[in-house]
Amino acid sequence: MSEAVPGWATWTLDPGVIAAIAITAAAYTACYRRAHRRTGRRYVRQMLAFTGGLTLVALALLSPLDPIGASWLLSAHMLQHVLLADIAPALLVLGTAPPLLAHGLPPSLLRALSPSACLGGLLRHRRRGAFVLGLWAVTQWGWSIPVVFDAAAAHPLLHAVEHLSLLSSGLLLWIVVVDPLPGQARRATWSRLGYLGASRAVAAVVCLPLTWWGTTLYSRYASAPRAFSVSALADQQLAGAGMCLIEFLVFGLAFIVVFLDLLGREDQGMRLTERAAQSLASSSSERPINAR
Amino acid sequence: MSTYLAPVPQIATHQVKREPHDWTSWIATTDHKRIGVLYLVTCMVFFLVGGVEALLMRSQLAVPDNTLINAEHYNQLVTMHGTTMIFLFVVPVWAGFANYLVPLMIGARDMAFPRLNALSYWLFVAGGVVFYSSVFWNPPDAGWFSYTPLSNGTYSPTAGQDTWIYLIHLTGLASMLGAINIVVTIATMRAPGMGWGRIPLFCWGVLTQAIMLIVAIPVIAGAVTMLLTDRHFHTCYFDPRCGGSPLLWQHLFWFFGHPEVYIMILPGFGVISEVLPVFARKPIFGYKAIAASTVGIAFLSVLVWAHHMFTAPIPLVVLAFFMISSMAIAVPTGVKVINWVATLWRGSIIFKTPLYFACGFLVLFTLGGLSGVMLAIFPIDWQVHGSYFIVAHFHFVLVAGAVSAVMAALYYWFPKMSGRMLSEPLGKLSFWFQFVGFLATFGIQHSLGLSGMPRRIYTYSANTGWGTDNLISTVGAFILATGVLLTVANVVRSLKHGVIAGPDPWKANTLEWFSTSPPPAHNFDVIPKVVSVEPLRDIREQIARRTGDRESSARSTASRSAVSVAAGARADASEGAEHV
Repeated sequence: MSEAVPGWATWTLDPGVIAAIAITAAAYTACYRRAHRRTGRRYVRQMLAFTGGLTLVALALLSPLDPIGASWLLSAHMLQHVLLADIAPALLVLGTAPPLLAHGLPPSLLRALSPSACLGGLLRHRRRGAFVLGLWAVTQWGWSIPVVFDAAAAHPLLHAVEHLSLLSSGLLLWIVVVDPLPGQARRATWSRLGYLGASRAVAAVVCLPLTWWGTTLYSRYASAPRAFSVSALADQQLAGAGMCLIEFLVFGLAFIVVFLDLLGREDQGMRLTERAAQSLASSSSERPINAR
Repeated sequence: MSTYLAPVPQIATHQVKREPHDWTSWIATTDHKRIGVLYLVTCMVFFLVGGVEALLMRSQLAVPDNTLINAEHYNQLVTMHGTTMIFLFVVPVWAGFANYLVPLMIGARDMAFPRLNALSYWLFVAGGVVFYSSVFWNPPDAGWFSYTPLSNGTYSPTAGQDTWIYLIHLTGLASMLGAINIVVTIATMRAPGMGWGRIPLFCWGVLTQAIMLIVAIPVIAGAVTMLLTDRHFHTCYFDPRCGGSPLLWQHLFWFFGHPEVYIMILPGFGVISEVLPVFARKPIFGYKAIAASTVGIAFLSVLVWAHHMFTAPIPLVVLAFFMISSMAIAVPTGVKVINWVATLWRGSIIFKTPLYFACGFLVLFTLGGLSGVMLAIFPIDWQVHGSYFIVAHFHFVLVAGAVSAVMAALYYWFPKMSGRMLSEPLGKLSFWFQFVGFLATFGIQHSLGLSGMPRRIYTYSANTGWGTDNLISTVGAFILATGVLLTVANVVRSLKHGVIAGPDPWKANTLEWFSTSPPPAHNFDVIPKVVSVEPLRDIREQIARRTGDRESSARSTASRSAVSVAAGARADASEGAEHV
């Protein structure tokens, strides 16, 4: 641990990570092209969000943030977790917001995602929110236990499992919150806001103690060489305050986005219902009396 | 052979009691409108009492080395004034407006739990009575936030401090019950067709406020209970001599206290969002953005409590966190202000008194918000903490914000509540007195704070150089008080001599104007089906389509016959209308 802190030019070109990112980007491009071909529309917001999400995954896993987080600063490691578990998944799922998937997925996948299919049914299960929230809590809290956290930082394989589980639980959580599945565009499920709020409460259990605790909790980082002249305790407080700030600001933004989406969905649904009722009333009044 | 069958009544009524109208009917009432009026009248009484306390303090500070009030009484006045204005005026006054208006605005016949509603009001009154009973022995003197150790049994041994604690308990319970009632009413009793995207913005403000109350009240209730046990049962939550932490009180108090600021303001935002489009004669600009920013502000408000504690021993990174989160509140607030200005932009503006107060709110609240962003920067806060700059800032937010909005609401909805219009000339005169008086009182206090005058001092020496500014501030306070008294006189005069208002004097857009003024006990003969965020405008247009005469339809909406005409027009489009 006597070597210098990696500079911003030091990137880890992990072939596994690069391949995963490339495959995901290729699959999304195919989906996007198909949707564009079918509808003639450009889904700029979705594309920007997805690109942003992939960029953040690359930043978290390939940039110097990874080695600095593993060996020097707890705050860098926690920032990496926030990127992988929260911001990148949110952007990736927003990148598939309606109606992109409905137009972009091949028929076989659409069939698999339909409510009658196994996967589609599972993703729309009425208890999926509670399950996903539980999974999110287990990953958030489990990996933050000091012994587990230190072990993950020390062992690359365990570290990879940690990152994969954080990314997966984040994706599942944001699927529940964003609700991007085909056929859901006019369903105003207000519990989405509840799950979003509950997910922040879960995150607060990790970030608030780190912010306010008066002693260091993670022995690996307490004994690590000091980078950027930050003391171990200040590093821990920075990790907590940074996590809280980012996660709560993400929550604030997401809350407003989901809230507006819900208002829009409900309004659209009501207008369709009213239009249908009107046309039904006018058609029944046009029918001859004996036909009623 | 023919048989004659005598008609048999299907429903026989016996001994139908006349609706009571004497004073006992007010005490036992569960009608949301009467409870609303009771709240408003009681709050106005407390507002006047709190105002007199403020004038006494300003009189003491008008000149250097003044001996009008001694230090002990000054501390008591500071405590009584702050507590009265916050717990007995601004928070419950919105409960009054919400009680009166929410069921009418959403097309309901009453609140979801009418008896619980009455209980809320009487708990609030009990809180006020218990608190003010302390003036007969020793009023509390530890400030409206009762910091420990000043408020513990050693430094505040009198029962006055206990009355403060009971006030928080009783009014907190009242607010909690009222909030639950509001949430359930709005969630379950909306008119047919009134989805979440069509409820009036005032209802969004009140709903969000109610949810914040449910989140924040338990924290302060727990904190004051801990203080009570510290004072009387020798617990040690806040006493450092036996391992307690005075800082814990500050955290608990401000975790409640900062959301409380927005609890006082959000319904005011709702009022402004209702008043501006009516007098600009165009729809509100960005309905969804305003609704979303309301909930955004509510969320951020629970993340910023420690900006009241920037001078307490808190790690630097934590200060940075609270600085950024406090500054972030300016974003949704800015969204609102921009939408309000855009609503006025190119509108056919009609300058009536409610609009005067709404515009006054826009100007003064924005100024208060700007000094708030300054104070969110903790190095600036370190310099001015505990000074008159802070006093000026929060009065710009609360007096200009909440009181201007209360005045706008009063002038806007008084015709609905009483059936009579308030005097416009008197209302405008009252506005100018209040506006100029407010700027003179609190604008100059920024300068006093920057000159180093600490808050809560009961006197100062002549060589500080604060005399002139304090005199201006005191003169301003009396001008402001004159403005308030003009409104009180206007209300009293108009109750008997005001012009008859009719159901819809402003040609407004929301459902309360569909009913008569004042509305009957059951609110509506027919509950209309709502198809947009401006249901009354839709009804007017329907009438215009049916009669082909826009002017006569507008007139007819403003008369009692409008109800039946509108019901006929509506019958075409709505099968879901609920008939009495």
